[in-house]
Amino acid sequence: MNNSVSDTKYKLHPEGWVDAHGDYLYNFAWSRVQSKETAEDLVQETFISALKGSVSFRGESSELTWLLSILKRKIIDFYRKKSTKKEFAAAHFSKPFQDEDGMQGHWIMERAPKDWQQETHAPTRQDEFQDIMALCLSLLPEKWRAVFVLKVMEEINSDEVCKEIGCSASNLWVILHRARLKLRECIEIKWLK
Amino acid sequence: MNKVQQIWIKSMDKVMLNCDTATLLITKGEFTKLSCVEKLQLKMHLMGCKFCRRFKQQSEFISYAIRQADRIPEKGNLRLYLTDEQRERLKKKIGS
Repeated sequence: MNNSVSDTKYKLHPEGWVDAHGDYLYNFAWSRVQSKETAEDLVQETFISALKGSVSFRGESSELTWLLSILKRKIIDFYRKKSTKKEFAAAHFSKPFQDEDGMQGHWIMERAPKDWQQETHAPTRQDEFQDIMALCLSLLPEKWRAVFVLKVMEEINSDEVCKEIGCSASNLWVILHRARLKLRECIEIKWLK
Repeated sequence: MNKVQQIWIKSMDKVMLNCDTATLLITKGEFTKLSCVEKLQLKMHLMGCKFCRRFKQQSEFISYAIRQADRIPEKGNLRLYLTDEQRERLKKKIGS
C-alpha cells in the first residue's frame, strides 16, 4: 500500500466505534424515533452494515460522517417498513382554526399562537425545550412523524419522501402542515405552562 | 358580527388568505419556492395577522432548534447515553 496516499485519508477503527461514536449515533437515532429500544437496534444495524460495507469506505469523509450516512438510511428504512403496516393510519386532530361560516380558517382564539419571546430568549430553558420537543414529536401520529422527520430533520426531497412512505405530493404538504400545527401547539402547552 | 363584517372578511380571505392557508404556505415556503401570487398573498396576510407572524417565527425557531440538536456535541453534552449494558451488547455484535 502506498503510505503517502493512505496517510491523508481517514481510516476505520471498528473496535473503537462503540466508545467513540456510540453515544452520538444513539442520540441521533433516538431524536428521530423516540424509542430507546428502536434507537439501539438502529445503531446496532448501522454498525453491522458498516462492517459488511467497510470495503466501500473510501476515506473521503470521517468515520463518523460515514456511519451517520448509514444510520440515516436505516431511519428511512424504519419508517418505510412502518408505512406498510396497518397502524400507520391517519390520525384525528382538529385544526386550531374556526369552522363556522364567515370566520372559516381563522385561528380559534384560545388556540392561536401565544408569545414565546420570553421563553426562547432564556438560555437556561434550551435543554428543556429539546426535551419537550422530543416528547411532542413522540406524540405525533406515526405517519405525520415520518413525514416530519424525513422532510424537516433529514431534509430529504419531497419526491423521495413520498416514494418511501407512499403519499402524493400535495398530500405531503397537508400532512406536514397538520404535523406542524400539532407540534407547535403541543410545545406551547408543555412549555408555557 | 354583522353581515357587512362577514362579507368583508370573506372577500378579504380571497385576496389575503385565511390563517389555515397562510400557515400551510409558511410551511410549504420553507421547502419549496412559492409562486409569485402565493408570496404576495402571504406577505399581505402576515402584515395584518399577528398570530400567523408568531406561527412563522415559532416554526423557524423549532427548525433551528432541531438543527442545533444535531450538531456533533462536545463530550458530556448529549441528551442521553448508552448504558454499560447496551455498550457491551453492541460491542459483542461488532465482535470487538
